[in-house]
Amino acid sequence: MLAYATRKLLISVPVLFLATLVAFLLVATVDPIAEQRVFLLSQPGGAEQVARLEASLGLDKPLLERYGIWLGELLRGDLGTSTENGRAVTSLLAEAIPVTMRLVVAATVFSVVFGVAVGVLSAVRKYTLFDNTTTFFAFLFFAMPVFWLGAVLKDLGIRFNDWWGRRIFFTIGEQSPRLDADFWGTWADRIGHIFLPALTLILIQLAATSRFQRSAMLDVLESDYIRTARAKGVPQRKVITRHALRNALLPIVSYTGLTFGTLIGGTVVTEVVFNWQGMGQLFLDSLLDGDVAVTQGWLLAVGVSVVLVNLCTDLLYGLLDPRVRYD
Amino acid sequence: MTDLGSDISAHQVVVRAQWRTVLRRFGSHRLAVTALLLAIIGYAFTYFVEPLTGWNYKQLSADLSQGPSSAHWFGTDTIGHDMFAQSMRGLRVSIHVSIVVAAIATLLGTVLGAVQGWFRGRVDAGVGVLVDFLLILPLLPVLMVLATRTRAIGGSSLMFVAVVIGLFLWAPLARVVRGEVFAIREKEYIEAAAALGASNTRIIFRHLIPNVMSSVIVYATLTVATAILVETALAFLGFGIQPPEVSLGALVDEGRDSARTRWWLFYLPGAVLISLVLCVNFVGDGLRDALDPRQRKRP
Repeated sequence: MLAYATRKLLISVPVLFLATLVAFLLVATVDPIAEQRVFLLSQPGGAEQVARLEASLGLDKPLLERYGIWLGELLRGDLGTSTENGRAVTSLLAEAIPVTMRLVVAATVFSVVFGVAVGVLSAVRKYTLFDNTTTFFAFLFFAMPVFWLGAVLKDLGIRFNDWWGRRIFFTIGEQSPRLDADFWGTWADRIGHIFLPALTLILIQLAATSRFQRSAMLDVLESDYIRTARAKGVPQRKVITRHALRNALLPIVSYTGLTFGTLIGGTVVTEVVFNWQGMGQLFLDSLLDGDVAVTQGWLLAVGVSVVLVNLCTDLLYGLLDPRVRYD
Repeated sequence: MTDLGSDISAHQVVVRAQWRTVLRRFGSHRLAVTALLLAIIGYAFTYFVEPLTGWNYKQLSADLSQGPSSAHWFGTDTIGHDMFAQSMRGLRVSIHVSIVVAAIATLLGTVLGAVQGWFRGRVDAGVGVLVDFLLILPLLPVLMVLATRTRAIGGSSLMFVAVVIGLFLWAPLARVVRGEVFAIREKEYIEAAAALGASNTRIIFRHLIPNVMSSVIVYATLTVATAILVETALAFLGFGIQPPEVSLGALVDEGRDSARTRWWLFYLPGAVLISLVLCVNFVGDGLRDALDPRQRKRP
């Protein structure tokens, strides 16, 4: 296990390095002072001012040197400042990440738990009413774009509130503005806000996860050792829980890691639909404003989290399945 | 003594090529056939919208914000666009984009996967790093950045968006093809080809790739569905295809704020989009059943 873990850790290092390179270079050639430049150059003595501005932002140096400086600052925990509002990128991220984390964690946990349950049940009861119903809904939600489902649930939530006469579902923001409540009140408010966006992501994720789990379970149920277990008279319930389920649960671990990047994309879209002030809005704003430092910091944070999540799922897989340690 | 030749002709041995078997099995999958027909008819229909309804997607009618009627099947938006013409245009754009994406991704995935599996060693490891990287890459944010970066050089044109998406979607197929090539490279017919002095190129393109076509076809269909969803999500966020060209994603984005008051602007383009993806997925499902002999028939 130690050799396996070391190997996986060592592989992550170049991937992380690649992630920093991509995060930096993808937007490095964007001019963060495009607007100011146009204005300044129309003014007398503007050229010197542009040069001063460039020097203060380090734009006068060659690209590779800037990357080196950025990487050095990064190791000291500094990702630069936003050219839009002068705030440190790290503090912008520190505000946005917990908001988005709530959504990502809720979506992951519930879609995996329900996905496994639905997938296993529909595999065990293949071609029954239950299986056919879940297959139908899986196909339906699998074909749905996240942004459409999000907007539909938002619309339905508002209609429900109107009909009920009270606001049950919150459809805008991650929590009520200027909320003055104690710890429990704050979390109750947050849960009211997270319900619909989380449901959006869960339904979409669940469609794929349950199908994946279903076929994993079917593969196991058709294997020889299950037939052996049945032949020696192990009761059906025990065959499912003791023999089949344990091995059928393995693929979902790496699957969760592999789809994490897709989930991030879905979260960005969902946050935009429900007007959350999280990572999605931060990213969108930074792109539209040409706020290079923020975009780079954002890509880096997401890149690192994706690599780490995949490292964790790889290690977990190695822990659960001894076979992969020796390939 | 009976004549062997007449005996055979009496029993009518029917020679069936593999693709005929596949076609027959696909044909027996009613849902998949219906979906394929619907998609083809829908696509052909986009060329007959103007003669049938009298509207094209650019025209502005005097009816503003009208609900669905016999004149405007999907109603009109606030500036008088006929939503049916717009949705059908969006449908055609989505189909074009997704087919280009699937073509690029399938070509890259098949060839690179086969090269990985055949050469193994360093080539495998080198491409493998790229595959691993692309597999976990959060595609949407990266495409959003690329869209803003390339706007100046036509980054929001239809083909450009398609090519860029295609360059990012080949990794899953490459991994599958690599695995299958690993399995068949030890077979006698590959050994025989190599022993007869066939070049690497010949072995890869004439012997390996034709034998992994089942997975390639199924993945190509899946890629079409993914491409549609990615393209519309980009358009929804405002980073994809730009007006006056139409995308179903952009239509849904414009309609979502008025979902309660002018429902047709939001729900109808969305329904077209979902129907398209559903059809593609059903076709993919049917192809998988037809191409994969291990799949058992329903009892």
